[in-house]
Amino acid sequence: MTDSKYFTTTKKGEIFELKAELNSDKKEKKKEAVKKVIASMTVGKDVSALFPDVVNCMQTDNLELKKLVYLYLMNYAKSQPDMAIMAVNTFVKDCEDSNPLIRALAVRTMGCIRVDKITEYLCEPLRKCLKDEDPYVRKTAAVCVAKLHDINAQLVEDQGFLDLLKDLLSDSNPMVVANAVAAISEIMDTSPNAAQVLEMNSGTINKLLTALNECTEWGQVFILDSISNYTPKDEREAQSVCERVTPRLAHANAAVVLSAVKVVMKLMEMLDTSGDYVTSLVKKLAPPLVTLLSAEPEIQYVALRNINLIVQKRSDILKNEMKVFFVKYNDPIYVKLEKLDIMIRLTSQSNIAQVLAELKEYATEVDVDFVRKSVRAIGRCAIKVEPAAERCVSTLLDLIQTKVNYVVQEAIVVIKDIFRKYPNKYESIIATLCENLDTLDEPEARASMIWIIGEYAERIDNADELLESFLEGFQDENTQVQLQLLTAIVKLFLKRPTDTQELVQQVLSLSTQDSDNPDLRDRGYIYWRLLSTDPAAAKEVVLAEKPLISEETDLIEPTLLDELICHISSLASVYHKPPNAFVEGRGGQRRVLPVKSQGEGTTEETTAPVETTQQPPQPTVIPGADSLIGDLLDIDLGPGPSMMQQQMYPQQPAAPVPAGGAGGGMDIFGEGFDNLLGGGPSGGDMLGGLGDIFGMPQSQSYVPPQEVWLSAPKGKGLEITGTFARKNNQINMELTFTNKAMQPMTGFAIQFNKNSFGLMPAQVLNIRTPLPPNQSASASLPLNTQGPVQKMEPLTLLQVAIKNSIDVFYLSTQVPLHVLFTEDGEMDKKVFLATWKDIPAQNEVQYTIQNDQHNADTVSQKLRNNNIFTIAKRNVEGQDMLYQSLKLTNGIWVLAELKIQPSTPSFVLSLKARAVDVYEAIKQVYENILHN
Amino acid sequence: MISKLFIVSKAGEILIEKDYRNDFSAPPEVCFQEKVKSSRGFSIQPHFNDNGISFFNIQRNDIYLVACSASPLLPVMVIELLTRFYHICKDFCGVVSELSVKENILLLYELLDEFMNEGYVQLASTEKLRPYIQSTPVVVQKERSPATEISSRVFGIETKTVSGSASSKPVVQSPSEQNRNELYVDVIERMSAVIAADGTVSQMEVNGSVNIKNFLVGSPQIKIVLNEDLVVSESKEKGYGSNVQLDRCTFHSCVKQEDFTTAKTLTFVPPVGEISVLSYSVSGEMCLNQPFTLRSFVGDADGSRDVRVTLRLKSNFPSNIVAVNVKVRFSLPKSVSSISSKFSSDEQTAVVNKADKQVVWSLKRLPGKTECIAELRLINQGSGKLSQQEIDPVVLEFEISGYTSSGLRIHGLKVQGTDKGQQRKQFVRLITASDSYVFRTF
Repeated sequence: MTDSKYFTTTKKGEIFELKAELNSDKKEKKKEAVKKVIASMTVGKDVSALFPDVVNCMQTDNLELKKLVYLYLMNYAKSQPDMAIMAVNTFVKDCEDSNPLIRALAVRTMGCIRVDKITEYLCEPLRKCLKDEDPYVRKTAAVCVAKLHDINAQLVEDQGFLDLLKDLLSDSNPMVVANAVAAISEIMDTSPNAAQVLEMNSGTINKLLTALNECTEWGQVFILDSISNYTPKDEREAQSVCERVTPRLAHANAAVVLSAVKVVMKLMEMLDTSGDYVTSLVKKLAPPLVTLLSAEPEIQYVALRNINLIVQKRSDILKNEMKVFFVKYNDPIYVKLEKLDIMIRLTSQSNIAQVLAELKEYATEVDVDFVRKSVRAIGRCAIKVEPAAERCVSTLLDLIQTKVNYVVQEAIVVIKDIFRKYPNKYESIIATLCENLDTLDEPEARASMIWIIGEYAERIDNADELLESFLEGFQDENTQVQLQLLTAIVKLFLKRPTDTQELVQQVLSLSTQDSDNPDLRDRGYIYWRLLSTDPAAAKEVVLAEKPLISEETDLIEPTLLDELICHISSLASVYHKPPNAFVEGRGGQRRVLPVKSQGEGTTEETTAPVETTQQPPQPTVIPGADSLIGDLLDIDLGPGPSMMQQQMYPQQPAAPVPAGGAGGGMDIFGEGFDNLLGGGPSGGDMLGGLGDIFGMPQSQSYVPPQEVWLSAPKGKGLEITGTFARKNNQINMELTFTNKAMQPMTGFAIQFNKNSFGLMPAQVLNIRTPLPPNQSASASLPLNTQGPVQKMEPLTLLQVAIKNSIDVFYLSTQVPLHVLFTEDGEMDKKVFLATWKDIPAQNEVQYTIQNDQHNADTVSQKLRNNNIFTIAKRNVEGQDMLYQSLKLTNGIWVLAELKIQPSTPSFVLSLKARAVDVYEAIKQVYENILHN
Repeated sequence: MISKLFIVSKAGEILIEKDYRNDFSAPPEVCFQEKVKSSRGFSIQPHFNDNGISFFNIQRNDIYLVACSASPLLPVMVIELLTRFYHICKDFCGVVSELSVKENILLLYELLDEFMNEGYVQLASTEKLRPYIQSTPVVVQKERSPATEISSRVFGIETKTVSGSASSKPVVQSPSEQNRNELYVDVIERMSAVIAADGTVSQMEVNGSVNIKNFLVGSPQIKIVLNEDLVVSESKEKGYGSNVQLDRCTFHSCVKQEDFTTAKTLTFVPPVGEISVLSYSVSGEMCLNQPFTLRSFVGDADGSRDVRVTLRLKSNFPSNIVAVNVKVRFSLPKSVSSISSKFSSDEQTAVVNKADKQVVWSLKRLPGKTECIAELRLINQGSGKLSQQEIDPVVLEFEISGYTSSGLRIHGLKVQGTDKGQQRKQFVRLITASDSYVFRTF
């Protein structure tokens, strides 16, 4: 007998027939009828009309029938809770049944009925079930508390269910404990009152570690995850936690393994790296990771994404396991691509021959994406392992000979990178490359080829002809190609000025007059001006010796990597993005790897919460990422689809990097100041440091003078003056109340209307009352931005209502925008650059700020005090250019470029943001701050 | 927490769904259905995100098992859960396919209800679930599909010892066959290799496992005695020798590891259903027997642009053992659309698979210590010469029963405990199958 037969009846009057069968006396017939009803329900037929008849069948001692009826009820509990509540008396009765299965079933089903009314019936049975003798019932009841909390949180707290849950934490049955923990943590997410129930300290951690050995595998995952959020107080504790977690590495459940890996990876940071224990840990980590790769492909995929992070953090763990990452021909494509990435990370001189042989094989496979990535990988090998570069190049040449279109194009793109790593070494192959000019139809490949021609123009006899041939279709080319072509021809001109004058004029006029792309036009004009005013300088700029590209341009930035290591096995590790990038309003606290305590005296300090240990970005991997200059040097060829974003700005500073200096790239902008100061961690800080030297006031944000908001005549004797200030990350409204009436005033209160930034008082207005006549009282009212938001005109308008014993007064004022600038408004240089490019040009607005005499450093300092951060500074022809970023409390980023000409007393401010509405107010802020 | 679990057929039809949390205003499965339809048979990434909803899926046989959630979860755990649920369904229904899901809707509803509650995993093993499940399974006749996992194929091969349907039966039986008292022990090895053109092994690896399928009455202790000379060593230096050398071992949590270290014995009390008691890997040609050698010769056919491909496949295992479903595949050059072929014996075919752009030479069975030769002529319709690169590599697929490449054997199987009068059946099988077995031709 199969279930499918229930799905086939389509006769008319079916409901009627079923009704009769449901009311039959025979048990078997009844059961069959209920099965039919459920079958109809599954295929989407409406059988709600049978509700009373089905509920009648509930009075049975046949467990199978009972379960079927409950299945039916569960379904309608969702869509028609009011109907389901009709059966509530039966539920309550079933909660007292002698069979634990039925008791649990009843509680579970009641929890699914999401209407307020159910709560009055649910409380008592639930309380009983939480103390039931059968663990199956208790575990079901535990989850039910979370459901009830969802419907009516207050009730759960009032009825003491939280305490009952807490009791279950020490239940003898691991399954009950697991569900209690799950329920508590879910309640904690929504209710702060429950937060104290599960507090992490060494005591709880110890309990959890003990529980680890007894609970189910899924519980283990949960426990290991909680442990990973805890930072032990010293090295000894870290080691003991590690010791108790490492046995989990051999577990058959991949989730347990990865969570254990996470804990170990995190705690290893606290251990002595040269110690034997770390060495043995590193040895222990490899086998479980390798084992994951023989699991199902889906697990392999997740494991590989995590391994990618792990090898970046500690390449020694898997350095001997290269072979397991070799691609199998029957791997799904998503596994293949991930393996390829890891292969490159593990490539070293000792295994390069093997890797190269593999990659060459892959490049002849069928799947286009995979082939492309393999070709790129060969190029990356060449850049990473210098002794093998020659072999890689010859492999690439072989591949070009296959004439497979996309292989050739990929090969040319990577050969360009190889040229940039080993200049003047492999030009002999250019001839071969030139043979394939006609087949290049992808912008990136065309741009790369043009770059090569321009770069080696003096060695290619017919460079002018080649470039001219590209010029014919100039208007139709992709911007990337156009920019490249412009630069290449200018290079050619500077190298062979005699016979290419016509060509260069042609390209300059094409890019400046016939193009409406601002990037292209600007670059064209810059070259034009350079060439016409000072060709020697042009030569110095355009033909400057280019920095070599770094070996590992696609590594994840160290701070982000550290954060991701703390999120191994989570979604973040699959996306390679921090959780706040894809989950809103969750996990507000960044996770940071713990640091090893230094010596003995400092253990005190390291017990401080981890989040204070945020390290400044270490620029060892991504060298100073400013291609503003790079733009001129034409080396901003876009990143490959497979490369990560950092590739966009791969060059190192032209000047020698100061040993141990932090921001190598800062040299260009900081004019060597960072040498002087030993390398500040960031542009803003550096300038701040300068401020110190020059004895400027530090960190005093601009507070506008108090203005009269309510005049005495209007306020029936009450005069209010006020202003806004930002102190210690906190917006304050500074108010002065003056009583100009004849009688004392009491009962002050304040309220805000909805406003653009959701400002609202964070506490009640606190002033000395009564306020006697002719006296003043000041109050500082902290504000937060969690209030209701409504866009105002103008944006900064704030409507306030103030009440006192006399009347209610309405007034409106403008919030100086800078109090809404947050302390974390300092954008990473790369991000700044990318964002600047990303925001469409029409969003850019220029203002002139008149009458200001400050120099660039004073300006930076003043702005920085108000959370406008100078990210980079450079000097162009005597003008100082400051690149600045700021962030508003509502998350809007604003980028600014401030041009300061020492000769004239006015600044030029260019703003770029996605929300253009803020411009006017921002400009106002600049004026106020700079004129102050 | 998982918000919803559902099973989708390859055509994108929702077979069954279970909403644990009612998180969504619109049914999220629509998004996945579209993904299935647009994937056109290509693999869907195990995890993707759509509009803030995380989707996780595994593909097994002709269905997708999908979980989705609005909150951030550990991907590895969700996939592990889905895999586990698949195995539970397999234990209960025997076979998991579109057909069997449709036939067992009520049973699956029950399983889904007990497997998770409110999106939290509850009972995630066959043994724990069994007391709570009332429905009886409907057994669907197994269709033998060539691809997919090896353990489900196992039973098709060895028709001599076990009748084909015996083990695709669910662990939960209808009352009439309640007294079935059977134990299956399978040693399954999946081989991956890369063999260079000159016959040298550049890479060879076996992922193996000892699986048991337990239908025993009572919960007796089981003892499996493995090779006495078995060595587990992770060191890179391996000695020549006939003993079995494993790189790594992972045990099921029910196995007493001490017994393994001392006596090379797996001692355990297994739960009902199918579990993998030991999984291991072996690498390196010194520790593995190569079941096949394949030489390929590519040359011009006289007086034409066609290419002649000669493949010589030799089986190295003992002659009393037979390999089945042997297939040799290589890529079809672009300018070739047909081939002509000549074989050394009957029961062989060579066909052009246009969809995958491959030439497939199939041998239904190949006994040990024999050699087969296929002479194929690729008819070139292009103007240029064909290069050998267009053919490379040659991929071999096979299944061999009664043979393990690592040499791992089961020397003894003891079921302890007293089963009075009950007749017990036990079956031991050894299988080696290809995973990714590649010969390079140049």
